[in-house]
Amino acid sequence: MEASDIVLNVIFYVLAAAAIAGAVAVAVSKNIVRSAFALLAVLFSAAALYAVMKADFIAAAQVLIYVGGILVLIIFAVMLTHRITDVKLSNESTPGPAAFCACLCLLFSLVVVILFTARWQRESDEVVVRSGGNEVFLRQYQGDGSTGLAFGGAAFEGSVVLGVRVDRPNGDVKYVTFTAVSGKEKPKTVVIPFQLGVTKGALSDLAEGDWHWSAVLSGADGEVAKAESPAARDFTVNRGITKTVARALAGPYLLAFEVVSVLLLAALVGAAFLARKEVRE
Amino acid sequence: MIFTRHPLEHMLLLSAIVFCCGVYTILTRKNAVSILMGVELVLNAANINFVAFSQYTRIGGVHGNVFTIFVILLAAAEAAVALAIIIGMYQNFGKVDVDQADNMKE
Amino acid sequence: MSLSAFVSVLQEHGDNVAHAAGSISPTLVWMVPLLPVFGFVFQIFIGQKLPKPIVAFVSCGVVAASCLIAWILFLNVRASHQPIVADIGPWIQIPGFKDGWLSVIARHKLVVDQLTCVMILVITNIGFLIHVYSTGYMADEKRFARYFSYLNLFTGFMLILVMASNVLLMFVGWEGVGLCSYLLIGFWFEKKENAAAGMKAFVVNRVGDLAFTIGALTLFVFLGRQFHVWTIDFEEMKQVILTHKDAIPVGLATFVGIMLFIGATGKSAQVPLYVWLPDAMAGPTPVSALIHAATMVTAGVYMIARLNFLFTLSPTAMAVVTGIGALTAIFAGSIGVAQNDIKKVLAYSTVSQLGFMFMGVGVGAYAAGVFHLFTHAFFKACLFLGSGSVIHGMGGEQDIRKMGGLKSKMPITFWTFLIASLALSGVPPLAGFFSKDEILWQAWSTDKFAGTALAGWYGKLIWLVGATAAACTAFYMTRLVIKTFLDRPKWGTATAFSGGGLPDWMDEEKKKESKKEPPKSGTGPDGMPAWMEDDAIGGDLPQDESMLDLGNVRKKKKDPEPPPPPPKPAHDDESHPAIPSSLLQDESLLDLGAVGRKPKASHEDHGHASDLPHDESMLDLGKVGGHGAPSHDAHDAHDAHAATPHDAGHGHDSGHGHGGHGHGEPHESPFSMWLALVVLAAGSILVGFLGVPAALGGSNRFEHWLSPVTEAHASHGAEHAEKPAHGEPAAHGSEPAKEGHAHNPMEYVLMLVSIGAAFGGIGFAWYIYGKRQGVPAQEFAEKHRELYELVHDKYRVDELYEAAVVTPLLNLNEGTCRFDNEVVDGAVNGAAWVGKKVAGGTGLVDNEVVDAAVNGAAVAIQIVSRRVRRAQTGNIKEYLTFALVGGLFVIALFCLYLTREPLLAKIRELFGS
Repeated sequence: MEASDIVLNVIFYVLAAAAIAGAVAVAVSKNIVRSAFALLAVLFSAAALYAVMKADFIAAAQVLIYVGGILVLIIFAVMLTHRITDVKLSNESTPGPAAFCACLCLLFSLVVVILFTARWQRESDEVVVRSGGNEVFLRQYQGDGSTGLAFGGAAFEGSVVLGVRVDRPNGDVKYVTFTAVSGKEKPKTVVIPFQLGVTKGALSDLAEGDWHWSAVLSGADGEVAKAESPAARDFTVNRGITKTVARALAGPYLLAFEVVSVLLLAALVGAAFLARKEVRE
Repeated sequence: MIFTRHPLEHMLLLSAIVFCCGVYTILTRKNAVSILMGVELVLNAANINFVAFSQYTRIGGVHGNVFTIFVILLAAAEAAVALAIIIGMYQNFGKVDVDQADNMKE
Repeated sequence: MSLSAFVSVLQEHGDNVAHAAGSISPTLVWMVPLLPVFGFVFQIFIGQKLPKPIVAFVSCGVVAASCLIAWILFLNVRASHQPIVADIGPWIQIPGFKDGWLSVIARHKLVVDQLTCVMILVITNIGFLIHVYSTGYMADEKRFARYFSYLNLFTGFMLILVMASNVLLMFVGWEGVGLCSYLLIGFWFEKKENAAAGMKAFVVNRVGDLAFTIGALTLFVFLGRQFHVWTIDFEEMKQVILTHKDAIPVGLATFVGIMLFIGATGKSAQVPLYVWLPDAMAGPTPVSALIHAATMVTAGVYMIARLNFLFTLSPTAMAVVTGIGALTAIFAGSIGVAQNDIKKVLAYSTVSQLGFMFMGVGVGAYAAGVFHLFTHAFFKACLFLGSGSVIHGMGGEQDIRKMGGLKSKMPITFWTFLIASLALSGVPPLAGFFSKDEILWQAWSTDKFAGTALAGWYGKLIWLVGATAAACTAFYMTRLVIKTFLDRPKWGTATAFSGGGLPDWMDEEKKKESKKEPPKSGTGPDGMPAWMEDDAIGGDLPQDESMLDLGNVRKKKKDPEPPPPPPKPAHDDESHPAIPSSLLQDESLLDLGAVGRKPKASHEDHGHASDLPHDESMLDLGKVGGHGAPSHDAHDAHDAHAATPHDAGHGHDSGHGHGGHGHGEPHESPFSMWLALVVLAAGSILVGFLGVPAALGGSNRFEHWLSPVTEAHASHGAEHAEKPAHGEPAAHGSEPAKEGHAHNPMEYVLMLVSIGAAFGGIGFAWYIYGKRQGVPAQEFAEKHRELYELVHDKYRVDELYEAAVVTPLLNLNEGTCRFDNEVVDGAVNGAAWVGKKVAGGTGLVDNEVVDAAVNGAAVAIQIVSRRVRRAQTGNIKEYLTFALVGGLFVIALFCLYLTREPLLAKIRELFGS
């Protein structure tokens, strides 16, 4: 484990603890102002978690909208709907056994699903390339080397693991040379001793952009086979998601975006109307 | 380390816990604003879920992130409307106790 | 419509107008019956609002017009010797039938031949006289117009009867006169007895009519089937029967003849259907005179005379006819001897004389029978009208035991009555002698039964019975005259009757009279005499009426003296003389009734001499005294008033219209009444000479006149111009030895016997009632009390009928009624009851089961929903909780579904499949 991983883990656990504590406090606290501020903690933790997951844009959006808008709104509502004197014991709860059990069951089922039933790992797709009379199967993984990376998909944070599988090589194959090429950057190469099964080689510090890669199997006799990944833009390296999200919003999600903005407008108008002060005679 | 598995699962577990806390808040609280806070918890847990899936497994691209953006937006709209209703409720009933807003009781 | 218009209408519709040689238009002929009918219509619709003189004028006028036309027709027939046929068209004619009973053709046709001429002359002339008489008799009657309407209608129907050319039209008249008889008998229907008498007449007639119908239809069917002649016309029937005389079985002729004769017994009051005639005396006396003496009762004789061609075919039927006639003659004659009501005596006399007529036609002497009918009409009508005059003069009294001494008071009545009764008794040279003697001679010498078992002796037997009946007739008529006119008057100022008591066995009315009230005097609100308004008056009286008075005798045996009735005036205003009580006790009494016996102060009825019995047989007029026993015997009451239905209604005559008269004493009747008497008495003297037999040198015009009808020819009667038989010897008569020159000496012998019988009867009655003042009769009655009672009770025939016929019928009626009520209604009610029970059951099922199910479902739902409703608390949190729970449940199911194969594999592994 690298130190960055450990640090990352520690950060994660802290943030997680903060989020969980805040959530429990929201659920349990008898003081509504305290639960409002616990919610604040939860929201911030969520934003931090987004950052940890390298979803920088979302983290920023979270802080801006959720914390800056919604939470403020909630606090305003808290203030507006309570007499000051009541604030202390203003958040009673009626914990019934049904609710508690239901939530526990829910948690339990989610946990079970998450831990024991779901396969989050997805093996990479294989692409077969013929070269030198060999059938060469190409794969690509995310930086952790086990999560498959779809061809054309985006690599997580500039590191990628490339894989090759040749079952019966024609000749003697000793080494596999992975070469990743991006348009502007110089190629990155890594040499991995060949192994039966899947030979994986990791490349890191890749710049952003579309990368094309190839694998050369060589041995004592020289190059036995050379396999090119099918097309350019085999994988894309993104640092941060902002560009991606922007492209998505302006692309496939344009209509949704527009509709949501109109919806937002309508909601605000409706809210303004609903909360109007009735003229009492 | 306790959890050496894929970090995605960490996130999912976290989001599950927060989700359940939010559901519990919704089910047990009397104060309407608290219930709204529970709803926010639920939404946030879902967001975390979305983002985790989107970031840790680039399956199909960045759709999870986009969805998260939308959820945040809609949560804002919904919070605004809900709070307007709560304000109205406060104005009509004098309190925001959902137990007492039972005009629909049989 | 006016008369001329009516006439022209008739002429329009006459298709087949047959004129006789004298060119009499059929319209004129039809006027004869239709004028009285018009009079009826007039009286009914208009006459009731007109004053009496106009009503009387119209009624008498139409009859006078008919009479005039009848004389014209008679002269025409006499001149032409042809019947007059007045045919104004077909009546029943069904097109399309050539054979079978539907091919019968009946026509509106009147035929006036010689026999019809006789009848219409009698009807119209005597009818006219009686109409005139009625104007006087019924002068105080309130329903004047109605009376005359009925009288006119009767006249019309009778004329139709005798002028009809076919059975159906005759039957119309037959039934019509029966109807009018009913209407007129029950004219004073306010008294129940009168209405009952009318009904009795009608019902008894009906019995006869049934037999008549059967006979007529049998003949019709037989003629049609046998000879294919479907006709009901008399002339056609005559031709058919005479042509095929030998092809007609005797049995059929006998049957038809007997059936027709039974009809005649009903109409003409023979045994056994005579019982209505005495009760018919409840009607006004002119009615009795017209209908029950002169006309209606002669319809039977006319019918047999008309159908003589049929009766000649069957000696058996003729034997029956004559036998019944003879039986009736002697039967009724014997009853007449013991009656005390003047009209009843005349009624039985009528029945007896009708028996004579049937005797005559029964032995084939149709002309003789019709001649007796002819003469009898005169003197019987005269007798009835005379009795009406007597009753009128006596102020309503009808009991002859209370009369007497009227000769000086009512001379015209007396002399006409005497002449008529001598005529009836058969004293030559009055009319009755000739007709009666002719019948007796024909009976003796008949050859109609030759070849049968009755040959030879039957006619003689009939003669003997007839002679005896003639003697009876003379006897009781003389008795009647003596008691009514010549005897010591038993009326007078009212004194108490203190005579001996009536023997109880004669005193049935005593008990019945106990409830009677005194009769009111004066006229009641209806214009009827006051005494008629009291229903209580007139109980049963009959039993006493004809009692030979045995008062003293009986009294000695049994009765203590009943208390003498207190002396009181008989009436309030009508002080009818009564026999002084002092007289009543001394004389030998002939009449015993409850007369005067009951010391009831109540019963009064004007005209009754209160107690009679002891005095009645007094012929000495010097002992006249009045007595006014207030307790007017029920006997008197009964005599004067209609009592039981058996002797229904006869007292009305006495009451009619006399309410206003001031009666001090009997008085003569007014001119309108004694005129008819005189005319009829003259007729009684003169008409006899129309039928003087050849044996006495006469030419028997009557028989010759009728010969075209009575002789059965196979040729058409119309063409057979019979010469006026004055002196024509060869009228193919059925009396061989009559016409011509050789007269059977037996005829003279029998003639002398008849005279002897008549005088013997007269003398005997004179001796008993005149000389001996009824003592021998009384002693005889005492000695043979049961016989006397039997005769006095008219042989109890009415009681026999009541027990044998009426009561079983009523019981049958009762039985069927009860059957209907209990069985039929029971079934219907039972079905309804069952239906109700079933309905109740279904209702129960519907209520209990069906509704229970429906309600149960509703209740179940309510129970369940009450529990379930509690889930709606309005608490959102609860709702969400349960939503979450439900959602989890769905997710679990989904997960199970997704992992079903491994799960199932695990389960199998666990349980070791």
